[in-house]
Amino acid sequence: MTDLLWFLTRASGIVALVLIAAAVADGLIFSGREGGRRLRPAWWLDLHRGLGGTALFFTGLHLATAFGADLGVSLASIVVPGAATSDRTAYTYGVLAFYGMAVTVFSSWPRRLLRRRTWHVVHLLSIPAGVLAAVHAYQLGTDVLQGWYLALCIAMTAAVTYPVGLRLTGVRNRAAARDRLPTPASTVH
Amino acid sequence: MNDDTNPDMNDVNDVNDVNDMNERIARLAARRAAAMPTATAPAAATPTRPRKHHAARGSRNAALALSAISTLGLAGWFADTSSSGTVSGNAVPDNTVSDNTVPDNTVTGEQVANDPASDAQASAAVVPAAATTSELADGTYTGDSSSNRWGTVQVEIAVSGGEIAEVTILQYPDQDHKSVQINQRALPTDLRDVVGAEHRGRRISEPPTPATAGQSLQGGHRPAPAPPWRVMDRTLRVGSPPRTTHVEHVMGMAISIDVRDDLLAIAIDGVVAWLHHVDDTFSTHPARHADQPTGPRPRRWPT
Repeated sequence: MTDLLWFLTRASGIVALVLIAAAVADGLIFSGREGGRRLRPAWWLDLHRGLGGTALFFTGLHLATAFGADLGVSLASIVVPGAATSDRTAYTYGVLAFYGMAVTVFSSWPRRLLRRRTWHVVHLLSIPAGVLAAVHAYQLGTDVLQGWYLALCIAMTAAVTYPVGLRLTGVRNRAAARDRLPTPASTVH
Repeated sequence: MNDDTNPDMNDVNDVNDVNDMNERIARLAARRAAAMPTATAPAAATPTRPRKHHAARGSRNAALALSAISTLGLAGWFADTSSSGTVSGNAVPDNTVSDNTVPDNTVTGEQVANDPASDAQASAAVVPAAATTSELADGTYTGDSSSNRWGTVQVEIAVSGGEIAEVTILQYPDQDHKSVQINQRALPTDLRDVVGAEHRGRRISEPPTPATAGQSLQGGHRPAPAPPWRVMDRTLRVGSPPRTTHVEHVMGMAISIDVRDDLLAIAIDGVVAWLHHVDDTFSTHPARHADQPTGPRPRRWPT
């Protein structure tokens, strides 16, 4: 039984990491208005919310199975940052990533509870949370030395980096377009 | 006349716009009401919460299903690859043993797998061997190789005079630095426990041999300058010389390692693996490594 939980821990952790990357990439595509014309923005937003919730669910599954897999993981080490007795940094990163994800999801669902600007700042926690989750996986993952895992990491990095580039260039282009617009004062004669 | 210059005319236009908009909304509402199926009319009588529209419902469900399938598939694959590591080891004595009966306390893979190892990865491999070995015939016993969550474990014991004279770890989890680091600490302790238990089970009246020196030590009869056993090349030998040397060519130079302590030689493996890792990571001449095998080298001469 503990072996089964151990295998589920590894699998759910990897799947959760992929879902986090997918949710972040989707959010960047949606917020950067780079979704194209065939798919509506509402579709991207809905999928983004779905991926975020699914990622949080699988992260919870990862934690639950890790706790029950007889790995010597105490409840405190997966709930309290810095409470782990071994691999403290890796566990702390994982716990912080989980909290960052939870705050990001529950501040947006079922309805937006915060003012838009505050919500946006909180929502941006998802990016460092994803990075912390990736570092946690690298430091503590059993399969990080496998070739397929390396390929998966490259694919995830590309999937997130590309929309980040689109987002940044889109922000720059929109700012340049705003600068080119005539100011209201210039139309008054 | 421009309408923008006449405020009164602007008000009139605004009112007209609002009226147009209201009419349009009313038309749209009527059209939508007409398009609604009549079966929903009774349901409207009971106030229910409107179902939230998900624009990407199909994709969300597909992502959830794919995630669940991936998790179960990966878990199954992990289980399959883990169990496929169990190979042919047998627990019967080697040809050097005259008696072919399998003693009950022979180290077997099943015993290894069933031992609840929690923190030390190799504990399961060697602790079962700590049982009394009075029924063992002299010879070498090779346990089944067993794969657990950290890797494959296999041990071999040599029995002489009804006692464990030597424990050799044929395989241990060394796939990553963490496993090597753990086993550097765990294996010497476990092997020490094995031989310690073995010696504690001996009768004091037996003639002193190198193997019984430990028992004499524990009985406090006489102090001895060195422990009764030494660890050499993953092997705990009773009464063996306490030294292991190793020469490794890495980074274009020969590095000599001389261990004069009660450490397993896997510590040397860890050091060598780390040196090669550093070399592979930071070397600016990757072609130089093409003809050089990586990992621990078999050039080791116990003295």
